[in-house]
Amino acid sequence: MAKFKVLVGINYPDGSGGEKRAEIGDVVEDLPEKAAKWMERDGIIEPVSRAKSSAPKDEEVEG
Amino acid sequence: MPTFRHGKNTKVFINEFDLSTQLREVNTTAEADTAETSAFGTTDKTYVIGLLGTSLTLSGMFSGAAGEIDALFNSWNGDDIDKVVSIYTEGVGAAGSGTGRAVQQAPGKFTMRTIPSTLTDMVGIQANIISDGIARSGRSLHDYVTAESSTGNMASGLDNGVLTSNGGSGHLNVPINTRNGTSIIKVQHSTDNSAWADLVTFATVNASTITSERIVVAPLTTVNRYLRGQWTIAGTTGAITFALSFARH
Repeated sequence: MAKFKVLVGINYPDGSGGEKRAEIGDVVEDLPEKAAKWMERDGIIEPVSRAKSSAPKDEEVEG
Repeated sequence: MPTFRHGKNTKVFINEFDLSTQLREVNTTAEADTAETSAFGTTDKTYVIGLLGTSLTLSGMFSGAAGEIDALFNSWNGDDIDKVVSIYTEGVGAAGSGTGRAVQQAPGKFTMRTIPSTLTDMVGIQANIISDGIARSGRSLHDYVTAESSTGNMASGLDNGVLTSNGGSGHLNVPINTRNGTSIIKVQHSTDNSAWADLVTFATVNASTITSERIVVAPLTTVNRYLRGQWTIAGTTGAITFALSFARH
């Protein structure tokens, strides 16, 4: 699932009838898609861009 | 069908005080200035609407002990400090039923105090309040009758039908608090009545502390379709009773 950084405190369904709470600065990846859509639009969350994984460098082989 | 309410259930909160048991009448009047535009050649007066202002009048029964209505009105009169005035004109309902009812909100300054004493009636007390800025009609987001002792929220959001885009104001009045831990009280909004974002977060209410606060949400801020009250309560004993409302501007 997509990861989002929380910019305003939120409560969202935990999938089992309850709620989860996320505070400013938390990163969440279990937001319902419908909620993520309006919260991103309203500036309540922002997507976390995946850090580019650096390709392993070839080891130099001493001759 | 319209839903009519009897005035006897009106609740009046000013700052951290519930003055309902000492008052008998409250009037909230919103009035716009008018500038006349009639000129030669016209036969009927014409006007342009100017600024909108709100004033309130309170009338009740004199009670002179410390912390009661006369002492409060006397200390507030002319102090030039906005009070958190919340008038629950539809009452607060029975436990669990009070949310969604109309609340008149005003940041009010006391401008007059009168004590009428007559041969034929109880000694009275009256006050005039002028709203220092925007006064609006809001909705209750917590059932004042219910004393809370655990974290919770409204069972279902209050549906406005559509979002609004001009901010608003939140009022919190806490007249009773025996809880031995802190309370954090919020107004949250939502587009789907399922996931919620904080809209107004009031200052943390300390243990066994009565308080009040008005927070204005800036103009042009989106307030989504659904609103609810949400409270996070720490501690182990006691309870907090509070009136919470929000007005869309």
